[in-house]
Amino acid sequence: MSLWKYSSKNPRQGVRRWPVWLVLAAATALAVTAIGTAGLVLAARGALSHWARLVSEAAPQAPARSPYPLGEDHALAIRDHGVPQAFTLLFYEEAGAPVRAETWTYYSEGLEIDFVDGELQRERAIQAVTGEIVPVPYRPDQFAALMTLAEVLASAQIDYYFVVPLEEELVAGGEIYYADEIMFGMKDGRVRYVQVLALGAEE
Amino acid sequence: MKHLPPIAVRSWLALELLVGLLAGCNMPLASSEDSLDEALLLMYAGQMGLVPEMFEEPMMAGMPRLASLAMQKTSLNEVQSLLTAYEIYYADVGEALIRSGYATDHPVVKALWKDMETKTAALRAQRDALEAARARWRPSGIRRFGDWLGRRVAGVMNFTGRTVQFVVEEVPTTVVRVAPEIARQVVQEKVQREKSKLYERGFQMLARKIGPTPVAILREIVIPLIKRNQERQERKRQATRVALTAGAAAALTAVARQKTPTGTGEAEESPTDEPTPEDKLGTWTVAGEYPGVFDVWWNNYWTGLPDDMDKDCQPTGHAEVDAMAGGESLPLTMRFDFNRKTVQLTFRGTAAMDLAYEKANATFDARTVESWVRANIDRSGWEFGGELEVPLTLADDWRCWQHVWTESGDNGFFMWIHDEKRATVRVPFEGATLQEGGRGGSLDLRIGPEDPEAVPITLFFLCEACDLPPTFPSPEQ
Repeated sequence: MSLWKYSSKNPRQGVRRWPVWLVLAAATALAVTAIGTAGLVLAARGALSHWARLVSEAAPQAPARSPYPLGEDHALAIRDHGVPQAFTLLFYEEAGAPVRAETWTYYSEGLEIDFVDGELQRERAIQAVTGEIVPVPYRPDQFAALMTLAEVLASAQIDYYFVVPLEEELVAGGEIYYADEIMFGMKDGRVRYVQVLALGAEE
Repeated sequence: MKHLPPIAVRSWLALELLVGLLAGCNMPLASSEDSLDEALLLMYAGQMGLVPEMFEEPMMAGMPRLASLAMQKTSLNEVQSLLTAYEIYYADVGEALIRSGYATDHPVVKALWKDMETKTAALRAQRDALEAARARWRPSGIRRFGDWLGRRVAGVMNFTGRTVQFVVEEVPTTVVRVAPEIARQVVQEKVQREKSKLYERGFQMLARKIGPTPVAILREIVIPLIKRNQERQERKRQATRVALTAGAAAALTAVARQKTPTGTGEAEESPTDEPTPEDKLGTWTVAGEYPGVFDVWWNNYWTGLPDDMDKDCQPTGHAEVDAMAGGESLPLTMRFDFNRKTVQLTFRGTAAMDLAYEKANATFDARTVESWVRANIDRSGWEFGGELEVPLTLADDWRCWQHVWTESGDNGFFMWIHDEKRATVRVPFEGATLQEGGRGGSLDLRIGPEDPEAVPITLFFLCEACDLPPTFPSPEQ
């Protein structure tokens, strides 16, 4: 006689009694299914998070004023050398205070200038480039620390870009964006790095 | 209703716990990097997106597919770049400390290595975690992914289909389409430059960590050392560039050699009797009050200090006056005589320090006994140096605790002991003007040995980027 048969014939019991082995088997099956599902979800999330993608959308309207007003040293550099032909910006914190580190490059003049928080740090000679430099469509004052993606796109008038999410192990919440002659990095939706590359026309 | 048997409940709970743990273990670790590291990692990630093959060095070596798959992949990821930058930085600072006389077991040196161990260990762990993650998600398709990524990046950055070149200072006249090799040079140039920035910034961060006294030592001794070394390297690099440039550059090099002084300490004499530019300049005087760092160091000053059962003076041996010269209005005068290629430096005054346990007052009167002046290698400014004779008086008051033992314990009080000592010492000085070939500019000057603690008594003065008179000439003027 099976346990199942015995249980079903018990007149005092309104519901059937499940055999222990069956309960254990069912629980194990459920647990394995749950673990498998969780694993699949995690794997899919990990894989999906590394999917780079092209995005094409109309850039929002440019802001009325520059997000980062240039300082006196910046103004002197622009007066003497013009808008930089390439530049790199890094935004970070030091002892709780925000820092903006900039490198402006003038290939035609063979000059590179470093600023920290708008103050001139040093000027460095680099080898000058002969030939035409294609003007970059960006200026350093279009970018400010902790701008959101929408603000960057609006300020730089970018409507077509390629985004590469970074691994959690590299920079958690980090993404790199590439667009026309520019790349920038964001963390948790805020810009932390901008680099504009100069191009030279063929001679 | 009958409950499930206890063993079933326990099994279920154990499985639930396991599920929870697995999920928990897959959560990303909280980032412990500071913001500068994150910004730099974003930069490296962006740049390496242009050069995807940098992720996969063994495959680039042209190994057969099976062999390359079997090889252990080296870590060439973004975190490794940052790690390398930090290793260079720590090695350079450590080397500078040792060179300036610090023993390997000195607290400053030990603090540096401890800081390095902590920092690099964290970065190594992050590098390995990143490698493991990449191997997990893209075990064998890194190259294909890289190629695809590279094409998309080049496309969206408007590189493809255009006859353009990356502007790279090292290869300015090479007209090429965007190619990995050129992109690699761009990245390497930028990374190298950022390493230098990181180096400087990291040094400041380290200085903050190890306290005010080492900060002063680092600022006064090590940073000038590093700056000079960097300037030397920059000059060497520029000279190499010039030497590598063909045609017109060769002629320029020849001219530069003709005008460049030799490394013997004296400017090279012109082969003709015609006056050199500096001969026409006559005598110039630079005078004023220069902000800078000032220190009088007197080792073994407190010999024979009372330290017995009745007086506790905590003898320290040395005495010093440490003051910011800008606040003390120390008059510094320099008279450059470009005809004789000499400089007469006078430096006299009084500096005081008032601390809770020590009050010091130094009087000094430095005069030049030996000097030289020469144009720097690219003739954009002057270099000078020599030796000063400095009669020095140091009066020091040191606070002691006078014990008064009673039944209730020590009812003592503080008392001051006083001493005054005189000596005449010789100290070197060295300086350079930073003028970029024009008039005016700034001046770096160090009076005193590179390591003040290495000599018994000395005077140390450091003036960095101090203004020159607007009419002060450069060798090209």
